Amino acid sequence: MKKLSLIISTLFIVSCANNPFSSYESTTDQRLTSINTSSDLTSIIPAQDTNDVLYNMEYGTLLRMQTNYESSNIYYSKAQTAIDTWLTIWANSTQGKLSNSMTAMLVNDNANDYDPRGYEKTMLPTMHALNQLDLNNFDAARVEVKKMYQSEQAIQNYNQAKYDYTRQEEDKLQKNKTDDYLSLEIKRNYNFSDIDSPEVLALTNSYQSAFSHYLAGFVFEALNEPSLSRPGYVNAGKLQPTNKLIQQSIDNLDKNQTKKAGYANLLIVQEVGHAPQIKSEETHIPIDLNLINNQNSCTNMINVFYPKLITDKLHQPVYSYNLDNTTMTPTTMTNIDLMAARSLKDEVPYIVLRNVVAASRNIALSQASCSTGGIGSLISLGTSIGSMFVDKADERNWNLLPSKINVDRVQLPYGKHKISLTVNGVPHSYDFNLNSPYQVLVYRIIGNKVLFEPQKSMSN
Amino acid sequence: MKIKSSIMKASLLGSLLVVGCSTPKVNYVDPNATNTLTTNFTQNDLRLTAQEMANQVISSGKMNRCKSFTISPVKNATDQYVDTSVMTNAMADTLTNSSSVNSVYVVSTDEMGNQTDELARQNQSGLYDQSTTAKMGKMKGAQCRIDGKLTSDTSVGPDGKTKIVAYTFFVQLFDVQQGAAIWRNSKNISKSLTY
Repeated sequence: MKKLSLIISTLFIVSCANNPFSSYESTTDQRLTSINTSSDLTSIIPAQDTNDVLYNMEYGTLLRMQTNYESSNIYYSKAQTAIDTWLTIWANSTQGKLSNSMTAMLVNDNANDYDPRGYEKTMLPTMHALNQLDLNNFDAARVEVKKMYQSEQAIQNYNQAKYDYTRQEEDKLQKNKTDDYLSLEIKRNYNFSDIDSPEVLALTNSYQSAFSHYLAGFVFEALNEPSLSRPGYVNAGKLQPTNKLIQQSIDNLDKNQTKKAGYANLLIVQEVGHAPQIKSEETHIPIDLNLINNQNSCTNMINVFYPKLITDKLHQPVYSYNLDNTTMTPTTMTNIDLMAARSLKDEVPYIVLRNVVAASRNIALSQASCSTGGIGSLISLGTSIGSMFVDKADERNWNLLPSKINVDRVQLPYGKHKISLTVNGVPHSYDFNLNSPYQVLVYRIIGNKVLFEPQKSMSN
Repeated sequence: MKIKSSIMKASLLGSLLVVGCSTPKVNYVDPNATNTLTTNFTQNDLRLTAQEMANQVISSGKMNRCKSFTISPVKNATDQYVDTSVMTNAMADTLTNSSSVNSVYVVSTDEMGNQTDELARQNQSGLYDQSTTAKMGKMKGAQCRIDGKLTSDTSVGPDGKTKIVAYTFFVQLFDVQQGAAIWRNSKNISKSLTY
């Protein structure tokens, strides 16, 4: 009867939309391989009408990569609708409900609806704004960049609330000898190598992107709103203090030297690779409760699960290109790899806390098992299936975001121009037409492909 | 025991989900009410500050030294996305509508594009009876110009939980020909946010 109920509950869980047993890392592996081989990128993910925010972000990006901006907007808008509800709760308060986080203490994160990470929440309106610019709709792009910076306060409030909650829980842990011991052992064995680099620590936070703010500055400048354009460039400059392009843009705005008759201010955006994948890593830690005077305890082996970043190793960070007959090397304005790492680093106290909760529960069952002899194996079976449900790091993330966003800005005369570059020995080029004071040319380097995502007006 | 625990967890999960499903309510609110929800300079802050500075210039009596005036777009030198056109417009409204001000408001640089477009349309499109059109070269130049700048400084308290943003709105009235400042003043606003 017990086994039957376990099978039924397992089948029930597997059939959930958010199947906690599935590996998102394997799914993204297949997708990334298919991008290289498939001519129709949208065939990589089946089309669905769903409110799943992660699906909508990923599918919207595939459509964007195919220059199907109108359809991409539909999926991005759906994803934004889900996030807007969350933003309303956290926009002006740190008192929102942390229900998802709390339920995740009880169940696998993967069983919850996906809650986009802070940087994904700011990148969504940024990508949406690029779609609108590609459709030559600067007014709609303005709406999106406003969403981007307005969401930052909400993300800060949420992070503060989550930090306060985790700290309170940590304080409680420290009062319990076993939990405190488990927490120390887990931290001692946690592999911090990919999230503790000086570059990660140098980031102001995990969610503010210099490119997003620079794009906001560019959109407002194009719309002749210098009072809003300047803060865009200033905020980008705060996040990238050594970036000369940003400083130059502020200077030009202050000197009112932004436009030249018959010339286009062309923003060239090079998106490279894909955002890091996340793999749930498992490590086994021997725990001896006798060490903290818990007499007659068995020695337990606890399983600790933590998310490990797998960054895009296929691409170089920056690719030089030729614009007409000039060789250009763009500068990296946003590094999603670092933002993802910083986001994970900020999550560490919470991840440790979850593992302590899981370890305490498993130890309690295991201690019962070691003291009950014959029935122990049955309890162990229940524990292990329960553990699969409860203990696994969340592997989901917006994987089709680029790994790096590199930017150049030039003034070019109206008329025909050509951009060309070589990736993995294969030459790629694109002819385009400039015909208005502010234009944007985005292209994505992914796998062996270079996907140009130009403005509609550029192909005239 | 295990089943009981599972039921408890399921109910807790269920209640958390139910708690999350409330119907949003929409209400009208007083647009002039003080908004203490954010340290950002709100539309209301912008309007009130600009109106106050305009009233100060009026009460100084120095506006009437100018036969005509214009207002340059208020410069936003903060790191926040503040639409300072609200301040420029609020000052123009207050000064233009005041019975104490005899000076005439003439188009600002922001409005010049539309103004010249309209003149060109009337005079160069060939669509209008030329005896009824506004003529080129008859616009009045401003004798005085109002210049405004918004700056901010953010500081965080030693506990890391209090953020104070201090804003300064600085306004000057210039005689355009002489380049001399006739009047200048500033107003400070500080907002704090405690987590």
